[in-house]
Amino acid sequence: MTKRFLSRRRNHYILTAFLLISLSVASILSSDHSAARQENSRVDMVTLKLPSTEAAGKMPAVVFLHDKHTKALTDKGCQTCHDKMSDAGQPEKFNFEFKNTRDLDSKAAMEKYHAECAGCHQEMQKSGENSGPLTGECRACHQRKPEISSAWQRIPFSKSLHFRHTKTEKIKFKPQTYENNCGACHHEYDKKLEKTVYKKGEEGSCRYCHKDQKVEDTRSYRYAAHTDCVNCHKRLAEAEKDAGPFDCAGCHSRKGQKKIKKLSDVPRMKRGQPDAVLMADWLKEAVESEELPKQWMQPVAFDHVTHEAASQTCRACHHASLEPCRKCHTLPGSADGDNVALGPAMHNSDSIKSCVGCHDEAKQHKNCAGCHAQMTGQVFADRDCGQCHAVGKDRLDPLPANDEARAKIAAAQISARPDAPEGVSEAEIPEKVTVDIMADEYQGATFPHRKIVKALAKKTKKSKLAAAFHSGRPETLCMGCHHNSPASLTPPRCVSCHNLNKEGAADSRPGLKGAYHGQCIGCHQQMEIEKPAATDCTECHKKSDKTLKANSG
Amino acid sequence: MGITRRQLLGWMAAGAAGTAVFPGEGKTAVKTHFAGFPDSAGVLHDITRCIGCRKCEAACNEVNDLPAPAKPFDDLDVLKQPQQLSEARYTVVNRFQPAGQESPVYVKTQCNHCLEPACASACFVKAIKKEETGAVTYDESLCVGCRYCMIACPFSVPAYEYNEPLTPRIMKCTMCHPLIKKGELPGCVAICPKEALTFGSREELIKIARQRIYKHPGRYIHHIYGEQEMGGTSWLYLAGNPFSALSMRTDLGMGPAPALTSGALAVVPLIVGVGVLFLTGLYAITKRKEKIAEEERLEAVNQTRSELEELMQQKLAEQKKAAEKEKEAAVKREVERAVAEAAKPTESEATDDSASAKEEHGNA
Repeated sequence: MTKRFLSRRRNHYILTAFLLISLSVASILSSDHSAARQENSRVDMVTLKLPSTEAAGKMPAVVFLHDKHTKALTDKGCQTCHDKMSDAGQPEKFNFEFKNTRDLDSKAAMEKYHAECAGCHQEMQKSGENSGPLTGECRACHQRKPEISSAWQRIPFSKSLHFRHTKTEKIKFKPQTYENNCGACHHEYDKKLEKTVYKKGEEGSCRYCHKDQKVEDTRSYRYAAHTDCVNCHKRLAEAEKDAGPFDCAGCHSRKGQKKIKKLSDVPRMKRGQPDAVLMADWLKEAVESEELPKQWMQPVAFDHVTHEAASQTCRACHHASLEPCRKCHTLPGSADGDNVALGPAMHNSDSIKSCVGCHDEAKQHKNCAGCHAQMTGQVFADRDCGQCHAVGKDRLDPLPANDEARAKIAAAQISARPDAPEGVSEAEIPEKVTVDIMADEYQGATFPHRKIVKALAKKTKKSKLAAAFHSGRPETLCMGCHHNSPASLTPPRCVSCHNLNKEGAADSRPGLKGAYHGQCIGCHQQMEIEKPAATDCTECHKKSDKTLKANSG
Repeated sequence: MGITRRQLLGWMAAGAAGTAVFPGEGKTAVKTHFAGFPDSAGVLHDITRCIGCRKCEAACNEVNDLPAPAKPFDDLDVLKQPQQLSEARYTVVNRFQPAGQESPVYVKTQCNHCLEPACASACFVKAIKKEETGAVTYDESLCVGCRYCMIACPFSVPAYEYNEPLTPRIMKCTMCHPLIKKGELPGCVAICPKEALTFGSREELIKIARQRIYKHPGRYIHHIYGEQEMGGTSWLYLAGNPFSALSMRTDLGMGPAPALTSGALAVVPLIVGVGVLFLTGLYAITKRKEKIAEEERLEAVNQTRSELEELMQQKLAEQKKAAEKEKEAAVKREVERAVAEAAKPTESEATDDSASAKEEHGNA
């Protein structure tokens, strides 16, 4: 101690001397950005930006609050800013572009905006009303960093909303009245007639034609939706009928969306789609040549009804049109299908539009993630093709010549599928399991094995996906924990793969303790099971006498 | 701002390195990147596995014989406040609640054991050293207590025993250097119930980390923190959230810290060594200049003086001549006058006079 002290003291003298010889000053520049200020967020924020040119475009875009203006101009109405347009035989509509600035170049449009906005503000001020910024207060509208952030939410036109529109009495579709109102919204552009017409049985998603941006003569989705929805809602409201919202917040705020009535039981949308599809690229040619080709993949019996129920829109799968997939995604791929061949289109696990990608997404649900999140991300090559490609040769004799015959085969295959995943009989599930191979600081843990299996089985029973894919082996569910070994009612002990030593194998396989804790706690976290808490050790194992002295609480 | 301090120092260093004329001198760490000792150890911290049980803190406290904490380690309410490393705590766990996420995220913090530690490069008594095991260790018998290492460390790791009046030490995690030399695991790694900490050779750990990322693409962000940061650290991290959301510095760049400073630091001996010569030379030159100037001045003075003297001599001579002429003229006049007067008296007188005149003439 004294020796250390002396050497330390000598060092201090050296340091003092050193410091006397040279003094250095370190300045640390810390850039501490103050926390972002609490921002006021609104859903009616519209950013007005003209295409940049020499004359216009030197200023940042304008932040315009639409609902604020609608409210202030209730008495004057939409015509204050929007021109009316009328098609023959159609009720009057507002064009929701600002006072026909569509055909003006940037400079002219800019001048029009300046004259109209600032002019109106000035008039309002003269008449003693509250008004917006005037000429010269440029930065009040042109904001580089808007003071207000947008809380705008996309409004999904859900199946419930769609059904309510088809059945309502208020929509009167002219010139003819069909059994429902499809023609009020669904239309196609007829090049000969130079106008949009309704074609029964040809309905599709608006987005097939109306893209995010205007393409040639087709308006953007935003413009089309606002023109149709807002005008119609507004007309109904003026006729003092119950109508949908026509302000921004009504559709685009969380609050507004919550107010929209949701039907729990929505009937199927009918547009001539099949109930079951027999998917095989080679069938058509085989029927023509009247024999099976040399190489063929077992067809997939696709259950269209179940998939409709699991999805909110047709567009989830039919992303570009309601045609069958193979029309664009041919086996070798074609330009129509963006050169995405049939195989990848169905199996690409990175795309939510493919079968495999969507199923992978579904496995992230908390009821599934307990087991599935622990599994390694499967590459396509690891998958069992036979799970889906299961229509055998016996069903294909004779080769189905038409769609009807094919649908029949598919329906027969589908009806043979189990409604719920089969499980292991209760007697074969060990009731309690004790893990005490590593008893050290804590005693062994005994856990209610059978209760856990039953809870998992109950959760999977609700899932049609699980019913289809867990089938074939009663032990499938066991493999959630007893992984990486053949499915069996007598799986190997964990210690046969997981080392008791902490330094696990180089293949990043955890050691035994890590494996147990990872499996149990990991599953509980994924399934959002709150109790027992991950850090509450004694909930699973009692403390032994060998405890850390520092860890006594 | 045009030039940063760092740039200026860098240029100075570059200039100094460029002017270094001594072979073998001016070799700085900027040129060579040290990729760590082969097979040196490290620890991989998988943040997605950590449950925040604080057992690592307890084990660390015990292994390193640190003072008992104010609150026991199994009191998890401690995590409600941000925790900081200190002279009594080599490692702390912190809880984060990333936006838009239900479950909290726990991150263990300790010395990252850089491959090229900034603290070691800042230590001028070599009290801090990168060991071949991978650990960055500290020798208190060398330390002078200047705390430069604390300023140098980009992760704000080293702490100081301010409350030790006589023998204060720098306190930081040692990767349990004594234990790993014996082939045992660091305390925190050995205790972790979730294997959120994996000990092994750094190269092996990077392999393992990559495997985990590829096997569970949805679980991790595709970045191994510490693989490149600050030129690489022996402690590596995997996470499911961006590291910036876990208060981990993402502004450190890929280069080792010493690369930023070694240039400037390398100039110091150069300045000390060459500076004296340079200044002596400067002194000599000034001295010589002064000497030459003095000589030139003297020469100029001498020349002027000699010129003046010559001029004076000339004038003197001229004056002498003029005086003589006058004298002669006066004598002449006197003689003529005497002759004229002598012509008036007797013959005898005349002869006397002429004799006296002769005498005078001879005298003249």
